[in-house]
Amino acid sequence: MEDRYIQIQNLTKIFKKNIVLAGMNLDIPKGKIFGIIGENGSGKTTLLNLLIGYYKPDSGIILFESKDIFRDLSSVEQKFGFATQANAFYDKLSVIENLYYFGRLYNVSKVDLKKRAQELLDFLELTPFKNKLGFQLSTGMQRRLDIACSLIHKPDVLILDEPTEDLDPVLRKQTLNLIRKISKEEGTTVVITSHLLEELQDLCDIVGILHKGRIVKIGSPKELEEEYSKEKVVSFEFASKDYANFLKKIKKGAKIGNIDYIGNKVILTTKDGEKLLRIIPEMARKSKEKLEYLSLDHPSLDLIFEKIVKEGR
Amino acid sequence: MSFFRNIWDFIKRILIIIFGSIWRFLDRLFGNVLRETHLIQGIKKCGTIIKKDYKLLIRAKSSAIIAILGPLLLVFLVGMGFNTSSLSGLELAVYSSGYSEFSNSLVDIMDDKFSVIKAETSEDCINGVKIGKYHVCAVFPPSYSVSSSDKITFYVDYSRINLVYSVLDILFTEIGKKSEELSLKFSQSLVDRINLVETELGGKESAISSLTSNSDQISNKVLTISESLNALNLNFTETNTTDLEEAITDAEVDNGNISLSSIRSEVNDLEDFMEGLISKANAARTARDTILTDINSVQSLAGQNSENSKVVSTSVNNILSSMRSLEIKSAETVANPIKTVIEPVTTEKSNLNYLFPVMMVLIIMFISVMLATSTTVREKTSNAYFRNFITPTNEFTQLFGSFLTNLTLVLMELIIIMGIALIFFDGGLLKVLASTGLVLFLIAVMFILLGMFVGYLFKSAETSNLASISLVSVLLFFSNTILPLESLPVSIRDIVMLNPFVIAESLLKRIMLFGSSLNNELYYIMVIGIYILIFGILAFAAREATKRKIG
Repeated sequence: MEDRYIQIQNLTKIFKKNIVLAGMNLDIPKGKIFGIIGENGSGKTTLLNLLIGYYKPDSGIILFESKDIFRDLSSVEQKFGFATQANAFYDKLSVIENLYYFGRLYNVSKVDLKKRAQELLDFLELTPFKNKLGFQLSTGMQRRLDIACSLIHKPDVLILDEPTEDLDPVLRKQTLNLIRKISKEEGTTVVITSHLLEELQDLCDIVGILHKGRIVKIGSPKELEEEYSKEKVVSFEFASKDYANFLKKIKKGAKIGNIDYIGNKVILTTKDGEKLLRIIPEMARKSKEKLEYLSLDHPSLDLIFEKIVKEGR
Repeated sequence: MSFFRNIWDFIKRILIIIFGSIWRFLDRLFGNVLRETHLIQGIKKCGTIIKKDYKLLIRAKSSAIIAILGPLLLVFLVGMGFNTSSLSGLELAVYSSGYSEFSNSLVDIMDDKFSVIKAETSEDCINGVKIGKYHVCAVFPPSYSVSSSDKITFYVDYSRINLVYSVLDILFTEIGKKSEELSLKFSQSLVDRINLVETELGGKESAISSLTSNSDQISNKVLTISESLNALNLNFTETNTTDLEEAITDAEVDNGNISLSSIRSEVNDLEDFMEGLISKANAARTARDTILTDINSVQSLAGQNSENSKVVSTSVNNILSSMRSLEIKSAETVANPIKTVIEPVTTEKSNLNYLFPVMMVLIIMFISVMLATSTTVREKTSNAYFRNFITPTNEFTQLFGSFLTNLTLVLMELIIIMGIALIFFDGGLLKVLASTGLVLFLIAVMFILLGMFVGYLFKSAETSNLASISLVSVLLFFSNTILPLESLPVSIRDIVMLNPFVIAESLLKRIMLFGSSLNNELYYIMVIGIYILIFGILAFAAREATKRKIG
């Protein structure tokens, strides 16, 4: 039951002949942070909107605690909190006014609301800004306020749609820490989307990769990493930056998957990592190329994601 | 003592049973409703939404000024501007190549109501109207007089249709007075002459009658004379005196004593006399015949006279009878046979009083539609709008909350406007205050829902505001405010008569100006009710449609 807290079964959503979700199946366990990774336009936001009952599916069902969410939508709404990509609060209302307003809409009694609002202000470190109007807050504080509005009714499930989008690295880190804190201290099940797997690597307990309206891979970040750990990533850099002839020669001597460029470096995915680590310096010497950089690594989750997506195509 | 205590205990028990029963009964009836969280929470949520909307409205200063102070300022200006019953500053240009005494007298009359300017040329006069310098141009024919068949030509600018009829009305009222005065004078002269003829003929009636009678008598008498003359026997034959002479001769022979010769002589004389007499009788007969011929002529003429007298008498009698049967005896009746008095159906005194219902509906329409559109769009374009949808709040509650925000705002303004109106209406409004209030409430509800529908229908604030302005303009144009609806083709008029503005304006006018009761106006109230239902459904549907766009 706890592993199948939210069940998505054969879910399809079509917008004007555009199939956004195509018979998707997914189970989200209770109390975990579940990450959904997908490219832009892969249907992440649509999936979340379906999860909270904002959209109705064209086919398939969503079960929450084994009950169809559309049978008693208001109780689902009461148990779900949702933070969108855009900050969904009134920027002409103060922090506390926003919390009170949405608290009342979430049927929180006046007494509980006051207590809960103060808890959240403290928890999210918004107390010094509680009388500031929404638009007067910094970007990070606005994101906190948006999350606070999603948590005002103490939801069992918090859904976050790309919460780190448009944030600088510091704010991004702060926000991820905050989500971790919410899951840990409030015991809330978190469903979070992103198009960056790397970002969710340390945050999520489970990650599902959404592609073309289906979950194409699911597992913990570690499991995904292990599954794709047979492949290695070899990076090297020549002073001349001329790699065309060299890569042709290398391909004859080792099995090479993806070839990518990051800056002046060449990134190769290969199952012959150790072999390449040996032959690249030899071949460079023979070709009279000055080797400036050479490394052998496990692939990052982003590269795994990219690979999975390419496989999906 | 214990007796009384027992009595009191008994009474207490009875009271507990009675009130307990009542309480249980009420609890059974209403308890579930009161405990039902959705209803109570729905009401509380409406309050929360209204509070939030007010805060947002007040914090958006520009919209607060436009939404709250704008209409009040408009009402103040309208009240100040239209609290009069006449047009002022009307300029009339006149031109004539030769002013006569009569045309000058007309100019003097117009001078009382208009500021009259004598133009140099007829072109100046007409062009002045074209460029708006003058309201009317009047061109008089040269040497214009009453007997002249020439006409005064008025040049008016019909493009200023709201003014031109008022100006023409004033103009023709003043000219009409003078025209009526002249007409009265001419008619009086005619009536005097008719009266004179009647008097004269009336006096001669007996004379004509007597003439006829006398002619008849003459005729009769001449006839009698003629008959008498005819009866005269003037036929003498020659007297035979031979036997007498022979007798006298015999006597002379037998008796010589008798002077027979003298008798003979006498007989001879007698014979002579007789001959003379016969001769005269013959002459008399001839004369009589001549007289008889003349008498016949006289009789014939007398008969003709008598006939003619009868014809004249009949004609005179007919004329007199016709004149006596004339109902119009006074010149005023001839000059102005139909007497009209225009009485207003209301006792209102100034333009403001007449215009007030229209102005009220106009203001409500503008406030309600614009305010509802602007608050709806502001809410819809807010990032927080989405979050409202994902809260466990009934969508009807959210719509109703927004509606109540607008309604309370409009009602507050209406209260202020009505307060001001009470001053202008000298307390007359108090009599219809309840029904007026109810009607205004219904009108406000109708237009607010229309405004909300427009707000939800369009994507951006710009298009929504443009749409709402266009919509109220169309409603305004196709109403009695600018052009009478009667000027439209019948097929279009039938549709336009269902214009919400026209319906609202007609209803309020009947209630406020004519003091009609709500029972008499059920048709209009029903139509407004139908509009409320339609706009409410449309607003709800349009709001639901926005879900798709913001998701």
